[in-house]
Amino acid sequence: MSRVLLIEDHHTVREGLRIALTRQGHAVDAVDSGERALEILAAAPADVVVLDLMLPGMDGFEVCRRIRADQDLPIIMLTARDDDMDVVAGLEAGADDYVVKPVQARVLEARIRAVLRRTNGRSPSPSPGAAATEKHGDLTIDRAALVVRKAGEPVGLAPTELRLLLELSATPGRVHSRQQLLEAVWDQGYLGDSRLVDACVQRLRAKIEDDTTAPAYVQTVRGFGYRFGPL
Amino acid sequence: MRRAAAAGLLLVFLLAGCGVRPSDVIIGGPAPVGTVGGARIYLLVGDEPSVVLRGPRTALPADVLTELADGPTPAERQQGFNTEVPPEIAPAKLGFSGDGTVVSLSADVDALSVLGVVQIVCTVQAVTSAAPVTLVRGEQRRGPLTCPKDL
Amino acid sequence: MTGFALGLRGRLLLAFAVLGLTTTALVAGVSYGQARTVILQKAQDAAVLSLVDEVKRLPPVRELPPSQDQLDAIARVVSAGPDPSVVAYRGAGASSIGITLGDIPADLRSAVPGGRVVWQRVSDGGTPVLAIGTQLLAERPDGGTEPTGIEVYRLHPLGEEQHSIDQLAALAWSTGAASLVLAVLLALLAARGVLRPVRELGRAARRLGEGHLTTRATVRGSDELAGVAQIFNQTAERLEHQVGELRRMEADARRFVADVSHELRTPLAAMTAVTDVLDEEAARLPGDAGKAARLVSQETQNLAHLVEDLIEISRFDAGTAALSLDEIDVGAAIRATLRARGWAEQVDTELPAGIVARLDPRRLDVVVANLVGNALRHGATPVSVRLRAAPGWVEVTVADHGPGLPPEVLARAFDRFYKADSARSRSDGAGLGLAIALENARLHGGTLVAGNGSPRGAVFTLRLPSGGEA
Repeated sequence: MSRVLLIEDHHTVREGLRIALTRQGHAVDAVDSGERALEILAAAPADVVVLDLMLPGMDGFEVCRRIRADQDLPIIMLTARDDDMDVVAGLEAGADDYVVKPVQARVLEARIRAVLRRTNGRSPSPSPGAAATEKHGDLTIDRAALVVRKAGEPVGLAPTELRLLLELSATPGRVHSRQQLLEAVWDQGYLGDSRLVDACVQRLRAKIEDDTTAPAYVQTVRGFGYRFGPL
Repeated sequence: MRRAAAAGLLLVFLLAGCGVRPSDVIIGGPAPVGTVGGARIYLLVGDEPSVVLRGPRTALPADVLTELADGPTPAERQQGFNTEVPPEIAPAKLGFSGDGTVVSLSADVDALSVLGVVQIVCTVQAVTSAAPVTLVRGEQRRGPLTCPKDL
Repeated sequence: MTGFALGLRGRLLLAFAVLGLTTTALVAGVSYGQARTVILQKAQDAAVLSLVDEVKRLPPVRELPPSQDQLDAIARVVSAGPDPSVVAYRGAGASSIGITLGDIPADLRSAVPGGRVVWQRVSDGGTPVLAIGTQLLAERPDGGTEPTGIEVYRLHPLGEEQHSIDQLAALAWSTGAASLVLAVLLALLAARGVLRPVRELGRAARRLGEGHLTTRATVRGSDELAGVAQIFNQTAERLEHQVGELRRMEADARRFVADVSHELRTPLAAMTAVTDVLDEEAARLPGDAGKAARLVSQETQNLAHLVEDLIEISRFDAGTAALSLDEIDVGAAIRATLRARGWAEQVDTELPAGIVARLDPRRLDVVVANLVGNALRHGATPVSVRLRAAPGWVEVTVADHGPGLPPEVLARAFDRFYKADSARSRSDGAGLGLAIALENARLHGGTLVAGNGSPRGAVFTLRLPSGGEA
């Protein structure tokens, strides 16, 4: 059982989602505004946040940024299909995934499970014989403790960011296509949106790279995807 | 069709109108009149009385009638002249009455042909005047007569 | 009237040329004819008068019939001038210097005894000659005249007059030619004046016909053509206004659809969220209540799809649809689409690996899902999906083995809410699927074509540029 914080301003939608998620066995806190959500989060942490982008008062992006500022818990956006710009902005604000409204309960449930797996799941197996703790330049990755340090300082990574880094760094120098990463990290396969990958890479770079315009750890291979290193 | 016809007509008109074309005989004014000298005697060419001049001499009217009675000369006959005046009219005498000239002939006046009378009248008028002429022999009279204007 | 088709320009040219030629020919011809008559008459009168004068002044004739000497004397007098003359007596016995009686036309000779001066123009080997003949009359004591039988003939050459008249003719011809040139020039000028506005009008009409509704003709002056241009402009204005009105109405209608769709979205989002609850509970509900719950659940999902399709097509209508291109393995993407919808087992595939293209994966998914879904719903199995690569393009064909599409359906296959089978109920499948598929293909710069395969079955062929937007 996991605690889900649902932020949705429309009463009926909120109620519908609350019923559905509760039946899936989650403990649901359903609120109608970002401000309320931040209050609840301050009092008791949630396992996952389901956030409608279109909110009165503080909008979804701002809520997303505020949550990201203190916590690394996974965030799933609720968005309309015709809001492509919102999707991009939401991902940049730190959302891990998004679902398009109207959404069926089992679809939302599948996404929630996917992000929770990222948080709780095991890291990809390191190459045989390698130590659980790897050192790549200034970056130290502890696959057992799921801790990343840069120059000795711990780096706060959201679960998806961490999963992405673990996936890429497991095979340094190998190119991963966006589709491969979507499947491995987001459990989405070909129907996934490659913008998820791009947005997550941007956020990851902001946290681990010295110079985001000339990334050293997560490098872009034009036309193919991303690779870790070579340093 | 109409346009072609018009163009054709125009062309014909233009081409036919060019230059100086031969013409038919054009009849103009009266022929010029000249002067003649000498005594006139009227002989016949075919049926037409025609004047003949006999040299540049002046003659008495009676002499002229004698010459008329003598008829055409051989040269004149060759040219086609003849006469219907019988030689018997000579000698003739001319007299004048109140209404013209009276010619007394030696031949039968009634027996004279019309053309013969014309010959005598014209010849007399040519030497005398325009006065009418009366032909007599005894009781026989013809006239008064005048020479036809247009011979 | 004319058997051959002349343009306006040709007709104007011809009319002007004919008019110019006719006028010139009439004027030149008439004046030429009159001038010729005047020239000839003057020359003839002078020649005739001269002869008459000379004959009048002849010394008195003393012998009749004239002797040869007499005739010779007369001939000498009348031949003193430049023109040759001949003197005869009663048509014979000629005395002449230079010419003989035979040179005088017989017609003229037979007219001379009539007692009047006669003349005739004849051609003497190409040179016109005036033959004049007269008889000498004698005066009688009683005032009358009588013919003497003496005939005088004269030949007066008309070469000079011929030359003058030829010059006149040449002048007339050159005047005609000049006037023809002038007429043609004027005709060209007039044709240009008339034809330019006509041509401009034609061009404007063509542009209007091509759909440039703002096209207007230039109105010059106030003649009939300007009137036509004005009417054209008024018509174009009205057309533009009406088309604008229609477009506005259509845009309004589409915006209304978009607005309604958006309004429907929130209640549908709430209903969709609980359809799974309904489905789960339906099994436990007794009889009709369970059926009703399932029905509500099913139709809620259908309605949600329909509203999403409406919103999607509204975005294409509004031109706000954007591509999110990515380098993808097309075969793998299609396979994923089929797998995600549970169609992988129902469809024959021919999807060679390694065909990579820059496409929007979500839109490709929409197109393939719509085409395959349509084939499964309306066609007959087996449904096949084939992928083929051509230089610069990828081609996906979706074929079924149903009866195929009749021509009237082919023409309207991509129309919104067009149902091939009118007996089919409205809710059976989305009426927007193929329209959305076509819009997505176009957004990629590609094509989507419906056709019939051989021997049977409907075939939809999707062609997309492999390098992203074409």
